[in-house]
Amino acid sequence: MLLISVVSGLVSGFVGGYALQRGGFCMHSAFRSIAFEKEHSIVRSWLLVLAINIPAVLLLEQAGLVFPARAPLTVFAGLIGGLVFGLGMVLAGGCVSGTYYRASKGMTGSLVALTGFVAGGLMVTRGVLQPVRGWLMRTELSVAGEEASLYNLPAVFSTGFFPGFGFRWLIAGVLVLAIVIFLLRAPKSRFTVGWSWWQTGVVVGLVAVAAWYFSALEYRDYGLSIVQPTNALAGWLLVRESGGINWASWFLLGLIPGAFVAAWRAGDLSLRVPSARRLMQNLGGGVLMGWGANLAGGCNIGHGITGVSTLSLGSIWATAATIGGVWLMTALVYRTTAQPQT
Amino acid sequence: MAEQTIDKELDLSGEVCPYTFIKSKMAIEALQPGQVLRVTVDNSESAGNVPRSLSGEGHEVVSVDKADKGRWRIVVRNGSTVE
Repeated sequence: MLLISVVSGLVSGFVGGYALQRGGFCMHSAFRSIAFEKEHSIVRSWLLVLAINIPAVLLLEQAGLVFPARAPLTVFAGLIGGLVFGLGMVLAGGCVSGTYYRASKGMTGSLVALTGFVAGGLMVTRGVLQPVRGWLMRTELSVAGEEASLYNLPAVFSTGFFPGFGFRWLIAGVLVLAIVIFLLRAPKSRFTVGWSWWQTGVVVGLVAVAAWYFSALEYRDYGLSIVQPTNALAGWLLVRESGGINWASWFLLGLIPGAFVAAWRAGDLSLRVPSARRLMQNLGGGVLMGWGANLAGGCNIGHGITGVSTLSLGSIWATAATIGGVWLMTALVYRTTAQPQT
Repeated sequence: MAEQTIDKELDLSGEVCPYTFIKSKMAIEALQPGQVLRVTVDNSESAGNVPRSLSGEGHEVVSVDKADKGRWRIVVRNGSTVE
């Protein structure tokens, strides 16, 4: 059993890391581009991942293979954590997964951000900020006493009505259809460096489905995540606690060499050092990301891909807050950068 | 093939997004319509994103070439119409 977990985790991680690197799958850029640019390739990759995973998770659930744990709707933790995480992402120059694959190809700014992310995370999960999280997590909303999921929303309007799988498929079908219509209207892209948006979306999407399946084999009711295994590996490396080591940890350990090999094959492997000022900014951004993601209980992957695919309202809320944080900080960066240098 | 005339060079080595996009956007907008900017970036995401974004802003991407290991050169022509 452990062998299946280790091997499937490392292999999925390798494929995932390779795809993230070749596809330049940066959710920070995706979130920013929604409001600030007219070009939405990475948003398309993300939506394609969701269009694959929303029905796949429902199918696995209906087949009784997976029992998705939907993130609770912790209003304040999701809002504040998501915002702080979004602000940090801009300063760190990438999302959490982006920071991992960029660090893997020799970008020292991302390595510094990653160090800050680990430290910030430990402060929230085991350190001085632990009480803040406990306090923020106290307010939890449910949907008519049930799990806060988009699937359960009809119960609000009609007391006691909890839709079966037929109704759930209707909701999932409408969402997927909307995404597919948007994707079919994509303009043809020229000058593609690396994989196209749809190649990246398909591979990351399939890896995310595999994550659900293999995690369920070890009774872990969640899919891809980065924050939890980062904390688990840091806890094991720094204070010798091996409690949280699971499929996701093996995935993360596979992701790093996968991203490395992808960069090596593409001639994108070299040590790159930004200015000292930028390095400090990356460190601060990393710490903010560590605080935010751990307060919100997930990052752009755990909430933004896995959680949103379960239609958990908590994950949708935290992802919306993250996008808000990215927009705020991007507006600030635009303002300060656009000032004439004197 | 005739060598493309370059009106302005911008080296963005060490920068990642959003700075690569903001700085290249500012540089191309400072040029006259038809003038050409050459941007150097040192990571593949920026090499993918900057041309896509600038093209979305209405500028014409002339070429994207891999100059060296981990270095890309993007040549863009200002596509704004004369008012």
